[in-house]
Formats: sequence, structure tokens, C-alpha cells
Amino acid sequence: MAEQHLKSPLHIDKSKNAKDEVENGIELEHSAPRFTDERWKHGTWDLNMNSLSLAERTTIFSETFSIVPLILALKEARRRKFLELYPEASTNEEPVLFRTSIIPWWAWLSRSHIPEAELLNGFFMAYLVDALTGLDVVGQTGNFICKAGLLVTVIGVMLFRRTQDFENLKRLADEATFYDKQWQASWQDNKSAATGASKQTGKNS
Amino acid sequence: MTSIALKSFVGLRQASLEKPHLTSQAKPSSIINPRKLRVIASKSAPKLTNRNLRVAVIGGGPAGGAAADTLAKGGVETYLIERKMDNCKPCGGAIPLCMVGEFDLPLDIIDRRVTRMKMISPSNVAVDIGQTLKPHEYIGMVRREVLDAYLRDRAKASGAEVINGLFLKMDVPRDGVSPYVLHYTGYDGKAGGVGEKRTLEVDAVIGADGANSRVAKGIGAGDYDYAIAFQERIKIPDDKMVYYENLAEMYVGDDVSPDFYGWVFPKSDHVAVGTGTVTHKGDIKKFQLATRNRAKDKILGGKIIRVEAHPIPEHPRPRRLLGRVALVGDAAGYVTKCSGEGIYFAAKSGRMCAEAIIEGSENGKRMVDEGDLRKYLEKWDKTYWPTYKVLDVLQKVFYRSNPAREAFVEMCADEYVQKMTFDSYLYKTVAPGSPLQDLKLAVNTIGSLVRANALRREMDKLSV
Repeated sequence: MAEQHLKSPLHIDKSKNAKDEVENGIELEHSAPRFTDERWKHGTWDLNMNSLSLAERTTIFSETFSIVPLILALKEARRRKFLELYPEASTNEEPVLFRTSIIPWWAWLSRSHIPEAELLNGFFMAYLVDALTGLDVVGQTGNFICKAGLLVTVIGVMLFRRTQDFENLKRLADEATFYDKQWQASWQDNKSAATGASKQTGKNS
Repeated sequence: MTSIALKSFVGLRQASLEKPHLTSQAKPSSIINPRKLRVIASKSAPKLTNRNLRVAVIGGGPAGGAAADTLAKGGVETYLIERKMDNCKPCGGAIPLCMVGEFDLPLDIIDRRVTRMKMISPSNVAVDIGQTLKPHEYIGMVRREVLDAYLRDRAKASGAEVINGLFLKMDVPRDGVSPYVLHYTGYDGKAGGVGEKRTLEVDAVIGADGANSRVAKGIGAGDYDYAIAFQERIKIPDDKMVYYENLAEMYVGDDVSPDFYGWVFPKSDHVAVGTGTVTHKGDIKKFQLATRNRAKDKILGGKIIRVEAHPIPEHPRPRRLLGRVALVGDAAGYVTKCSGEGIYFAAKSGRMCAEAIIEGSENGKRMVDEGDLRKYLEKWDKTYWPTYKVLDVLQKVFYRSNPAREAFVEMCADEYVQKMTFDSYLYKTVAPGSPLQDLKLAVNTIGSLVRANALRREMDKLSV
């Protein structure tokens, strides 16, 4: 896929507060650049499809159903990246009203690549071909339990493709139950509580 | 699959996972079923002759005040030891609606009623929440010095003896009937500073002395992870104050805090701007600056009148109870994740512990033992564990990264989410909603997270 990132230069708005001001303890830090874009208006992105700018038209994409939503997605990514580097004050005059849900899901298809989805597709394609051509490799098993076992194996292979996945899942499980363990700690040491009377002070950390 | 859903979560500890520290190790890996505990029934405990049960409450905040009030009303000889009667505890100061009713708080101790909140994402997507609130529902903003004093005075009026003193240490008895001897420095008010060493003999102790509890040290309760909350009280011009009339703001983002949120809370005649963190305490000033920066336009021209900081516990101490000593409130570590709420739980735990003592002692007529106090732990864990767990899960899912925070703020725009959030916050019940709505919510949450992460992947490809 030949892709180029949006090339339109970032406009840096330095018109406000170019000088330091110290006001009774609240210092206005030296003003960071503000995010601007031709399509960023009134706190959200302009979906108007009739007015692709030259910069936008020179951007090349493939496998898209419509260019504009994807352009918006990429521009929003850029806006967020900008704000991570130069956080801006949130103002009431120009509230940000944008919601990611206005970008339709299919706009993302060309940009995302999930290895597990590939495997799934491969598996189901093979299953379909098998059934259609009558080779019936799957049917050889002839038994519901074996078919179920096949599915479980496939899913298992997908989830645990790499040893690292085991580690990840184990870590996830530990993470999820860590808080529980902290709460149950008070109930764990009741045995030592009986002898605890003689171990009182000085045992803290 | 896991690589998409969740990157490795540094979470609230700097190192890898460690088991909670116990000062005296029991069997490390088995979790003993509490129902198998040998509970000595208090009915077999000795009846007290010629006197009532004596209980000392160390710490005169919400937990201590509520505990002392309940104890005194229940017929127990109660002592409340507080080191600083006019203490202005650094605190967000938000109390849920149910606390007003449950603790019979007079409405004039509430400075402001917050009926709207604004959640602001890292990219400044701002969402208003509070449309689902009914006219009588609000979050109460209080000054701690006012609330604490009210609860203490009420305890005093119920018969508790309020002592101005600094708890130093306690001598632990060797059997189940001898008293605990408390050592404290008593300030007589006019003494002007130094005070004099005194002792007090009591049968049971409630440790309500906050995040740096000395009572906790005295029973070897162990340590907990804690956040540092840093806050500046800022007096802003009146026209700017109008905006914060009944509105509080929450800012999320890596700039503001890696694991918590920045806030602007309205107080009596000024605002409190602050932030907190567990994992990056050294950078707290930087986070504070970023919080001020995000709210810059709205607090322009303001004057900082006070700077304060305090630790906030992240989870309960490994041991909350030993012998006839129990911990409540921040001393026990009862602050929720995600929102960092502590006042209500402090007061409630103080009350619950006091009630367990009253019941176990049959209104102060019998000695109590550990089994009686353990009933308070049992009841507490059973009642509030779901609340704490849900907030823990929310924090783990939504505070872990900027995309997650963006998704979080987006979700808050949903009316069902707002209703569930406020219902559970204001009334302290994890209310089950309708299953269909819950399913829709789950789908929307996943959608938001996926979209936010897709944007993140695009962001990683860019260089601005």
C-alpha cells in the first residue's frame, strides 16, 4: 500500500500572549503553540466533502471507501499528538465537541492489521472450501466431540500463539486479582493474631 | 489478542507485583476462609463490674467523630483524642448525598452543592455530566475544619470526652481483660505548645488517625501504597467564580497525572486546583503546573492562598485489626480507587466499628474481644467490597493511557453511564441497571476503546 502522511504544515498560532505575565501568583507560562487546521472549526472536524484542499488531495490512500472520514481520522490523530506535546488550556469559548464515533468503522479497515483476524479468515476459508468441494476433510472426524475439539484447538492456538501470550494472560490474571488479595490480607493472618500480642511494637516497616 | 487489548500495565506499583507485606508472616499462599475463624462469643466474656466499657478513639476526623458519637450514644465510656482541634485537613471535600441523611448533617455545613461536573480528556474533549440528576440531588462540598468540628462536638454532646492531645504509643496487654495503656501528650489549650505526658487506660482502641496512623504502627498493621495529593487553593475573580458556582471539573491526561486526575473543585469562596499520583510522586509539581495550565483560562487572575499536600491510601493495610484494636477510615486504607473518595467511608467505618463494639459489649456492659471487632471487618468487607472492586476495575481500564482516558470521557457523555455513576456515587450502592442497557454500554465501551487505540496507532506513526 502506498501511503503518504498528510503533508499540510502545522499552523502555529502565536498571536496570543507572546510575553510572560505574572499575575498575583498565577504565572502565564510562555505560551505554547496552539493547534490549528483548516478543517478544525468550533471544536470539531468539518465533514464537508465538497471542499478537499489541495493538501488533502495530494494525499494518496488505497483501499478506502471514502477519503474524507479517513482524512479526519488522521487529522484527529495529529491533533491529539500535538496536544500531547503541547497541552492546551481547555476553554469554554471554544469547547471541543468532537466524538470519535463520527468516523465510521470502515474507514479504519485499511489502516489496521490484526494477525489473529488473518488466522480466523484463513481457518473459515479453509472450512468453507472443504465443505463446498466435498473433500470433507473435516467430516472425516465424523464425531461431534472431535469437531468441537478441532474448534477448541484452533481457538487455543490463536490465543496462545506465542509463549509470551501465556505470560501476558498470567500477568493479566494477577493484575485483576491483586486488589482482592490486598483486601483479604486482614483475614489471612488471624492465626498469628493469637500470638500477635507478644509481637506488637517494633514490627512495623 | 492480548497484545491489542492490553499493553503491560505498570499500574500502581513501580516494581513487579509483590505480595502484600505482612509483618508477621502467616501461611503465605493460602487464603483462610473467614468462616473458619474461631470466634469467641462475647457472651462468654466477663461482665464488667462497677463500670462501663472504656474505648478510646484516636483521631478526631470524620471516622473518629462518627465512632465516638456512636459509642457514646451506645453507653460506652468514650474518649476522643485529637491533636489539633482547628486542623484544616487538605482534602477535596466532596461528600455524597447519602452522607447528609445517614449522619444527620445540618445543611449549613455544606458550602456548595455541585450538580454538574465536567470531564476533560487529554485532547480537551469536554463532556458535561449531571443532566440526569434530580433537583434534590447534589455532591456536597465541605470544609474539613467545619465538618470535623461538627462531628466532634456532636460526639461530645452525646457524652464522649474530647481530649486535645497527641497520641504517642500504647502498651498492649497480655491477656483479654487487662487494659491498653495509651501514652499521649495532653495540650490544655492555654499551655501554648509543649503539653504534658499523660496516660489513659482503656479496654479497646479505635485507630482513626489517618494515613500516617500511629495506632496502625502500634499493631504492626503493615504499609500500603499511597498517592500524593497536591492541591492549591486559589482565589479567583468573582466573574470567574460564577462558572464554578455548582460545577466541578476533572482533567485526565498524562500531562496532568499518569494514574489519577487533576481537579478544580469549588470551595466556599475559592477553588481548589490539584492533582495526585502514586507512581510518579517526584513529578507532582510538574503535574500541578500542567493542571493549572489546562484550567488556565478559567482561573486567570487568581491568587494562590494556600498550598497543601497529603498522602491518600490506595488499598487497605494488610492488618486492620489486632486484639481489641481496630483501624477505620484512612488509617485502615478505605479510600476508593478511581475517584479517591474517603470521607464517607471514613465516617461509615467509624460508625460500623463502634456499632460492633456496642453489640459485642451489650451496650458497654461486657468486655469485648477480637471476635467482636472482627464482625465489623466482616460487615464492612461484605457491604462495600463490590463498590471498591468496581472502582478498581474502572481505574485499571480507563486510567492506564491517554487513549483509554479519551474513551473514558467519551463514555461519560452517555446518559445511562451518567445515571449509573451518580446513583452509585450518591447512594453508595452498586445498582444493577437493565441488562440490555448494560450490554449496549459494554459494546459502546469496547467501541470507544478500540477507536481511541486506533487513533493512538496513527499518532505513533506521526511526528509533529
